[in-house]
Amino acid sequence: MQEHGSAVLRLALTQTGSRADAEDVYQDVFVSLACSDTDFSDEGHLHAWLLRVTLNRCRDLARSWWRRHTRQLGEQETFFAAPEIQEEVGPSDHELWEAVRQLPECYRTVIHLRYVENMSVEEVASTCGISVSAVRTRLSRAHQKLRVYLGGTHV
Amino acid sequence: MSKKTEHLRDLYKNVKPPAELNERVISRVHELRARDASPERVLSRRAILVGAAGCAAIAGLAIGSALLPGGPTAGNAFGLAIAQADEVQGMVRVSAGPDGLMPYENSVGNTINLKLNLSAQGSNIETVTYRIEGSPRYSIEVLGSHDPGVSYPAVTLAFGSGPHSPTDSSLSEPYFHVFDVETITVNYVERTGSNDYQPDGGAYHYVRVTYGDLIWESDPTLQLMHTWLQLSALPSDEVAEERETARQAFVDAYDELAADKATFYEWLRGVYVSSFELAASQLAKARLVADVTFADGSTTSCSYRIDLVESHDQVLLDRFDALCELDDNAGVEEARAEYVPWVSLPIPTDEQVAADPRLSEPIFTIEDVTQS
Repeated sequence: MQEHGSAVLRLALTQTGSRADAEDVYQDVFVSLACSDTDFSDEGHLHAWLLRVTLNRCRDLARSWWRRHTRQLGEQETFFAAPEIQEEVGPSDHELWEAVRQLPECYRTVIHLRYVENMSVEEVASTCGISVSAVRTRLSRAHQKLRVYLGGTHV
Repeated sequence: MSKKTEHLRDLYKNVKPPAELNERVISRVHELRARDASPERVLSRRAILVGAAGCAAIAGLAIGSALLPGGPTAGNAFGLAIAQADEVQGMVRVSAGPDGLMPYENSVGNTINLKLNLSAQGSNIETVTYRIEGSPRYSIEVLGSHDPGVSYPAVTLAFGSGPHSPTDSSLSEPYFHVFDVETITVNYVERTGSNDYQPDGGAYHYVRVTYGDLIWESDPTLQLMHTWLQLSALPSDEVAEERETARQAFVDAYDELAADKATFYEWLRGVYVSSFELAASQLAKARLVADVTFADGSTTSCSYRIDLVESHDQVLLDRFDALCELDDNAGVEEARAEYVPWVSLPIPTDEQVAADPRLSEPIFTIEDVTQS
């Protein structure tokens, strides 16, 4: 957990949009690891496995009707508060977070893995179980969407 | 890397798992390992299994050949039973017992997990692999929540672990999760003492049924709520006025229901029944298939339809009443206070189920439709 915990939590946070859900996913992922008999060849293999399990758990959670709708009943959770004064031109943390959250899941995933986890396109493809060209296409479309969400000037 | 993608990475630089979260994980792993190693735990579970197996053995005798269509060779036979069965006026009726095809959770949502506590009846059975065939599909359409292009099977097999009852939970908070699985294989050669196949160690297998957003269409107040929630999911402020109108329409309808305790209670009962009927509508389109291998290497496949019992509405209304009584209507009152249509009902203990027949009354039946 010391080595890979932050990456798992970051990805879960991006995918679920909720700290509580992300922590649930985090717990599930590491309990699954403890119960797994997978023979990991190296740290990279373990890292990829953890991120893939995280994605699967987040998808499972997204299917949960109760969680989705109870979340909508209250205020939408956000981790990066909107600043009272916009000090510079460009999106605030809050705006950027909201824009990423608006992305469809498949685009959000590649954006996160590529830019937050700093993975190569090949690593993203391996983790998501898709082709390299599909990753490139999704990244391109994600950028286009983010531009729209952020008013056409950013990213 | 552009300035903005750097900005994105910086957003997460302080996201680190707190020590308390790691302690929870370690505590959970220790608990699972202790549970696996505990002879008392296994013994306790075995005791339950033996009880179910006893019923199933009786069922097998009562069923006779009607549910044992026979394998591909003369000496082999296979059939499924749900814990108990009896014969009524010359016809075989297979019904769910206190465990088989009964819901694990009792809260109303859009998914029901039914315990797949089936017993394989027959001779020379070596393995049985269960799978679902012909499931309808559903998709999630909430904007910003998920890729709207993705669809999922509505009926799946699932594996769940976690506390089964309030008495099982030794953690600081309840913990239970369910994973979809493609197949479940039971190796009867390796099993002893029971033809019930539920795994040990605090885990269950389920038929998991998701009826998606159909629940919203089942009731006018739920329709209003759905309209409001869909508008709430939209990111733009352009729909702010429309959203507020929708919210007020829902609140007004809800207030009217909630103004009278009896009216509100009846409404929740109706939603509870609807949730099972919607699940049954999905189940009706799918088949549970059992691929059986016999000791001589021959194989056969049987197909089963799961359906509600004939008097399901009364069974479910009674069950709802019994569950509400367990927590003195706390779940109902909570729902009323929080403006939500789904009530969190308690999970009864084995003792509570044994003491109240309303909690063990069969909800679903299973029928062999291999020939049809």
